[in-house]
Amino acid sequence: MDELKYQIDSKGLTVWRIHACIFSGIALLITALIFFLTYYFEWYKWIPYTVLGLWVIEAFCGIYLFPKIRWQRWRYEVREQEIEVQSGLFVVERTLVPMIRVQHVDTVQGPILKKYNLAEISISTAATTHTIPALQMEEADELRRRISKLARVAEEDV
Amino acid sequence: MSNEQVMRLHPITIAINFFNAIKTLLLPVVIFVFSTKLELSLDPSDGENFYPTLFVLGGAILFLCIVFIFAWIKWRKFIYWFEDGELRIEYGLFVKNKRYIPFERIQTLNYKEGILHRPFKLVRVDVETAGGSADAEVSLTAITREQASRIELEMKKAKQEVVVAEDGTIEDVAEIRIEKEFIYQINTKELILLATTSSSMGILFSAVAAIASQFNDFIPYERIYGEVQNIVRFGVLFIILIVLGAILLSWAVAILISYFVNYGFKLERTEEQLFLSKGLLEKKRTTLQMNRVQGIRIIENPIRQLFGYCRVIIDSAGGSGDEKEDQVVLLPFIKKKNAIRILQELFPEYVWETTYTKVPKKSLIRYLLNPIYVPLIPVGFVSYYFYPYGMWSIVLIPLILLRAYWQYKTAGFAVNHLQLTIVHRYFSKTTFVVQKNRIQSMRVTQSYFAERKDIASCHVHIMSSTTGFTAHLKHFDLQAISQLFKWYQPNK
Repeated sequence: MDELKYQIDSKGLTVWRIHACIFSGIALLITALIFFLTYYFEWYKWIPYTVLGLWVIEAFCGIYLFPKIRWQRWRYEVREQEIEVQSGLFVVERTLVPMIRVQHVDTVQGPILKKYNLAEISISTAATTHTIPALQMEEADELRRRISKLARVAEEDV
Repeated sequence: MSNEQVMRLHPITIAINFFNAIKTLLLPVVIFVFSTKLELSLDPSDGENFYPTLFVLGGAILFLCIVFIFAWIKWRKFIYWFEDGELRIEYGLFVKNKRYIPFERIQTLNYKEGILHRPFKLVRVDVETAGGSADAEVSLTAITREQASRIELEMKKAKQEVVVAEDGTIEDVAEIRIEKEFIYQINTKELILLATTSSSMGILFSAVAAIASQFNDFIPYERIYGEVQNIVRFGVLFIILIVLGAILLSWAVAILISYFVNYGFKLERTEEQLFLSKGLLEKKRTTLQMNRVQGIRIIENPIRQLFGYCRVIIDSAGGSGDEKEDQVVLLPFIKKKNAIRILQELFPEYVWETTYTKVPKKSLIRYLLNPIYVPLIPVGFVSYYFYPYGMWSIVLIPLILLRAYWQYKTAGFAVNHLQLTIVHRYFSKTTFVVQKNRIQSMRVTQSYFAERKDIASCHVHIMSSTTGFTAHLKHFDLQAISQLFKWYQPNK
């Protein structure tokens, strides 16, 4: 199978990292709390240090490693008759959705995505939903319009 | 946005949203208020109770205001308009959602009128696109009847332009007085065999186990923990007897239920529809549109497979009206030979005899090892802590391996022109047939290690009632999977 052409916006990687940072930040607070509790109730010293170690691993994977791999994996192509999407972290997934199966297209934009002028597209068939995360706002709107149009041209029974 | 007129829901929507929010929040609030055991007093001289009362009242009013403001925002931020043959909707404050639904994709429009709707001649419209998830639908909480009928008109216009052939099924419900053709009726022997080999026995048994486990809450755990070893030592026979009793009991109940449910099962058809009827106490009739059939599954559980019997299930694009059944059982219990004969008659476009692409030898190790990892943990745990009797749990491992090998031997798929046939086994062997144009999407997955061995898996999604159904092809040769993926690409 050939490699797909388009990658998602590189700012998407930043957004993922911000999400991960928020998560890790909360995890760090909990870690700090555990340190405090250990000091206060005189628990075993190894407990907070193990938690801290786990946090370091989580932060490294969650903020640096996983988003990087995921971003490199993410590919998509919207062709006349079909949409193809590739994603994955440990397992590479490649999905094919024929245009005639597309029921509707949504763009969704959260606050962080909005700040970077990005949007997420989700494509629904009668049975499944597929997303392309972090596209340029204009690109996403354009794509949604195109898919919506193409999906209608290719008409057939469900 | 275009010069088309953008529309809002009727302002009564605010009230509806408001009351809905209050309804869901009321119970927790009431519980909270009562749990604080506050003594309410409006007497200013009763300083101890007066100020808390003011505080609670103020809080309640503030809370209502906030709920109201949210209801207002929700209404304010919801707009819809018609453009380009689509119903376009935008909503959301923080997360902006845009939903464009082409009119010809709308399957049904359901109308509801509540107490708040009636005085204003309003209606709630639920727009349903084909079956799909809850996500696939949109609700217009309150619009005027004129607007509702405009949506309906718009939908009908779009459908007539594009799908002329399809709407024949909608209009002539009254017309179908055509003689139904009899296809099959279950006989007593089949009915009894069906009941006795029913796989719902397993479900029922787990239900009994689940109920039994509820009683565990009333049993002191510490004492049991101390006695577990005694029971393990002396009570093995006792436990076995209890388990056997439970199995026999649930089996008996399952037989009865299955007998009642499937009593007098009958299958008839006309040109475009299948009619299924069954049941002794509660008669159930199902009508199935032939053109809504998405896929067909022949299921043989191990016992039935031994005697050459099977069950046939139809995956149908449900959604509208009263046919919201999970699965439509076309033939509950029948000799496989006869099932194939009937299926050939009903669905002549499908191929039933084919040669399968099997799982390559190099994947055997995956089939064997993948289901082992997770059970290994409890087995190791039990063996260690309940030594030596816990060691018996190791017996599970070869059983799992045996089943895994069986799955490996069963799995296969075949492509015949526009039809895909997939055979796989969970416990029961399932033969799944689907036409290319009924597959909603296809997904190929490959882990890092599988990539190095040129192994890939494939997942085929179809629409089935409300949830959809996925058939899995695990650990096949990459070459074969790639070909399948290519086959699925439109017009190639």
